[in-house]
Amino acid sequence: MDIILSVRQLSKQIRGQAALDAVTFSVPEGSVHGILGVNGSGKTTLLRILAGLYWPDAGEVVWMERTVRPWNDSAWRSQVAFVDPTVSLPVRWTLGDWETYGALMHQRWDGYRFRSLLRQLDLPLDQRVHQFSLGMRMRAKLAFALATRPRLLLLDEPTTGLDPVVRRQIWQWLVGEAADSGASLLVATHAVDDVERLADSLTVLYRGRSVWSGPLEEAKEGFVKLVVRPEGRTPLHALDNALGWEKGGDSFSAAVERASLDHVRDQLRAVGIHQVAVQEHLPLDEWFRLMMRKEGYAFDADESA
Amino acid sequence: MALWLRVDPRSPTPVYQQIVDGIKAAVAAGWLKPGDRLPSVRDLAVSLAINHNTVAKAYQELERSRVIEVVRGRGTFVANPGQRPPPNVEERVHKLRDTLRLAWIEAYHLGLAEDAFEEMFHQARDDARGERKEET
Repeated sequence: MDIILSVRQLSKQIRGQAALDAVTFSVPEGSVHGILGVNGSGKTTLLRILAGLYWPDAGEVVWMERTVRPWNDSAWRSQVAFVDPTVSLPVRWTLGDWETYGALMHQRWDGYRFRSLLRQLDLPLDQRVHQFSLGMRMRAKLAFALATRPRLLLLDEPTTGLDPVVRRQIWQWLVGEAADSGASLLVATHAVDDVERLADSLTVLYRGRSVWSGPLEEAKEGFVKLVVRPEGRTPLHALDNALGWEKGGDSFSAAVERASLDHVRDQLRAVGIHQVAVQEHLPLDEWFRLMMRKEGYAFDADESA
Repeated sequence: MALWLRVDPRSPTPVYQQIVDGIKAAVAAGWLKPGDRLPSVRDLAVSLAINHNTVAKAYQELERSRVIEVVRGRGTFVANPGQRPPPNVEERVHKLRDTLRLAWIEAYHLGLAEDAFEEMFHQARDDARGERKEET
C-alpha cells in the first residue's frame, strides 16, 4: 500500500512545554492508524495540528507526496474531518440546523448520506442536540463528519465514556466507513481494544514523542516477554535498563524485540543470569504497559524494588 | 450473520488467524457446506467489528489453502473439497503425523489407557464435526 500521509519531525510547544517532540510516522492509503498513548501524551495536539487548529513549531506534514500546511490550506481542510469529543457544533441547534450548516460549509457535503446515517442511528432531526445522551452526541458528530466525505478522518478518543453497545456500533461504523470509502482513519485513543479492533498500524506516543510505530501485527508478534530469575544479589541494574525490567516476586520481566533477543541474552549471561524464560505471544495491552514502563511510566501497587 | 464465527481481538493469536481457524472449523463441522456463500469482506468486518484489511488477509489465506473460492463478480464460496488438492499436502500431512505422535507420547505420560485415548480421539472428531452427544 502506498503511503498517503507522513508526519515528519512534528514539534510543538505549549506554554513552554513540549507537547509534541519530533513526532514521526506514516499511514498507508486506505488504512486505519491508531495513535496510542496515555493521557497527556500529545494525541490531541497532534490531531489538532492535522485538523488545522494549531500550527506546529517545526516539522512537516506530507499528504500524497505533497507538503501541506493544514493550518493554512482550505483544500486540505475540505478533505479532512475531525471528530473531537470536547468540541462540537452548537448544542442548541437541532441536527436539521447542523445539516444546513454542513451543506453551506462543506464542499463535499452529502446530505443524502447524512439523512441515511441519522435514520440508521435513530437520531431525530428536529431535537436540540443538548437533549442527547453522550452516545447520541458522539454518533451525531460522527454522522456529520462522515457526511463531509473526508479522505482523512481524525478521531479523538471515539469510544471513551460510551457503553459497550454503542462502542461496538461505533467500531462497526468505522470499519464499514474504512472499507467503503477508501478513506484513511487516524484514531487517537488510550483504549488498547480500539486499536486491536480497528487498526492496521499504530504509533505509540509518550510525552510528545513517537516511541514506536509500525504494523499492528509487528507489535503483536515482533516482541517476546523475557522472564529472568537472578540468583543472589540482583545485578540487573548493571544491565541496559532501557528495557524497563519489571519486578514481580523474585523474578523480573521485560518486553524485548525479537530481533534483539540474542543480544539481551548475551548481556544477561555476562552478568551471570542463565535462567531466562521466553514467553511468546505478548498480549497488546501488556506490550503497551511494558512499553510505557520502559519510558518510565508505571504505577504499580505491589512494587518495592 | 456469521454466528458460527467468534474472534477475540485480545487473544494473542492474530485476529486473521482466528478467522482462518474459525472458518475451517465451521466447514469441518458442516455449518458451512461446499458452495455456500460467505459474507463479503466488508460485511464480515462490520459484523465482527474488526478491521477490513484483517478480514481480507484471512480470506486470502483461506483461498490460498483452497478452503474458499473467490468467483469474480459473484462472491466468495466454500470450496468443493477434492476438486483441487490443497497446497503443501505432503508437508502438512507430515506435520499432522508429528502432532499425533506427540499426543500419543503425552497420553502415555498421563497414564491414559490405549482405548481411553482412542475414545478421546473419536470424541475429538465428533466435536469437530459438531456431533457431540449430550451426556444424559
